[in-house]
Amino acid sequence: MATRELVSPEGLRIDGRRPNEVRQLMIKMGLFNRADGSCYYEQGNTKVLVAVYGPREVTHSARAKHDRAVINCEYNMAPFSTGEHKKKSKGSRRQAELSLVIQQVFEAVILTELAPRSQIDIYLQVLQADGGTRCACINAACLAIIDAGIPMKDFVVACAAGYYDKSPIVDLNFYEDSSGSPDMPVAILPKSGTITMLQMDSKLHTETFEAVMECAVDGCQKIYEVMLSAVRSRTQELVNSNSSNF
Amino acid sequence: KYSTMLHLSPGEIDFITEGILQDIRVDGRGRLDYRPFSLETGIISQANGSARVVLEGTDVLVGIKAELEVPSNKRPNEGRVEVSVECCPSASPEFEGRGSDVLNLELAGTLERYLNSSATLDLKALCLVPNHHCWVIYVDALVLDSTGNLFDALSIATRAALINTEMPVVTVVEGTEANDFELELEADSLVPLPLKDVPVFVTLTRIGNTAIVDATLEEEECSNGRVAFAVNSKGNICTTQKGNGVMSATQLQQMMLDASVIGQKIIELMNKVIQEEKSITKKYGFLHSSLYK
Repeated sequence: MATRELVSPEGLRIDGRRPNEVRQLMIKMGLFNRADGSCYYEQGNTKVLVAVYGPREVTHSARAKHDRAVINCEYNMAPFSTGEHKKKSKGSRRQAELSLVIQQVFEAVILTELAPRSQIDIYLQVLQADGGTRCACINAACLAIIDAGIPMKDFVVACAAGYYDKSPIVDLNFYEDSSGSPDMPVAILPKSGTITMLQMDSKLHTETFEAVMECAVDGCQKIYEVMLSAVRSRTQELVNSNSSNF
Repeated sequence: KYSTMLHLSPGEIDFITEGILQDIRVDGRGRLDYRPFSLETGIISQANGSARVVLEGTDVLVGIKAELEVPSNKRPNEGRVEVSVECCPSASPEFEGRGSDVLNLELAGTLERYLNSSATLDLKALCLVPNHHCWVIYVDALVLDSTGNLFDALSIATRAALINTEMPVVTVVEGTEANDFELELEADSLVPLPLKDVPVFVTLTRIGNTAIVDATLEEEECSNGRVAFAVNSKGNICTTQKGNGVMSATQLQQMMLDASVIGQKIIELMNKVIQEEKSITKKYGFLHSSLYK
């Protein structure tokens, strides 16, 4: 596919952002009745919804672990989420891969030793996909787990970066991703800066690899600020609703 | 019954049943009172049409996409509607993986039946070139959370989404050879669907000998019969779907009359809300703070 100009000579991308600008974030926590924790997360035009159940009794007792909780993750895309209508999404390989990747990310962060022989379910639903869905899902899942009150070592924040015309660009949308730019989603634990997920498609020179990774980590830190303030305002909301001042 | 995870004690069942005999339900409603619900359309910008209904804790999102495809062999000069319902695991963990397949098929099947009738939608107008090109309207519903009365909520959201749908204008250009057609889409000019009178479903649940409308999960658990009627704006019954239970013809008739009145009221309310929405430009979608939390 021919690479159209992703960054104009003035330094603006097709949606008007600078190469180091992340898309606008909108967050809402605690939406559902039955789920223990939930979060609605928007990053530009990418919209995802995550519900978390747990820790609760294991559904298949053969899978129970005697010393920790089992993390179960399911990733789903709505049929109207992509440009073209997507038929039956259950059981696709991409879905299985993403479910596994996200499960592994959270297995490393959630304090599973505190809930042996139990299960924590993370259900991800993509309502609209415009690039960066796996990163949006990880961020939304992190917030939903916090909303459910399940203890974690740290936040998990994910962001993707690409490369165009000798400089890295952060947070690719669908158009930029499919225009041939390499796509590198990275997830970090912000306080320590350690990396919990790193993927890449296409090819990159080893020298540019570091620059792109730094760009992604930088994007993660920016998103972390927004997520932190969302958690704080949600906590304030809960505290206010419990107080007796009307 | 849509939920198998609810376990009610005999005392609770008695409480619900006795209360209904005296026209008082657990949440204070009367027999034929509907819970207040919120409706918002056009929240998925990538879909041709969308709507979200929040009926207390029942949260349903419907997205509509129109695609150009080949008409079916049985109806070569008509377009069609294909419905799929997905009960998400966020509504209940028992919907994980393939757990919701049976329920999805049941809900989708009924919706597809009444949407593919010429009384609801002008299917012939959806056909562009007989045997070659027609519009297929994909209606995809996501059940995100549930506190009963899934079916009615789905039909309300579907109706609102259909009214909200806009499709590009297509001109058919005949090529030089026979059967050679070119379709030109004008993305800038959008037209609504050729809708006729789209009905909404009103489910009547029987508890003891009385019928109630808009049952909660607990009430559904105590029921011994269920009938759903599709009612259009004139109060006519378009489709019926009978669930379990046995009832006499007179009882059914009374339930039908009740459904007709309630269905008309719902459609009236919906039309008012959709009209008011036209003057609002900012859509909140899921960012709206919920009324019921």
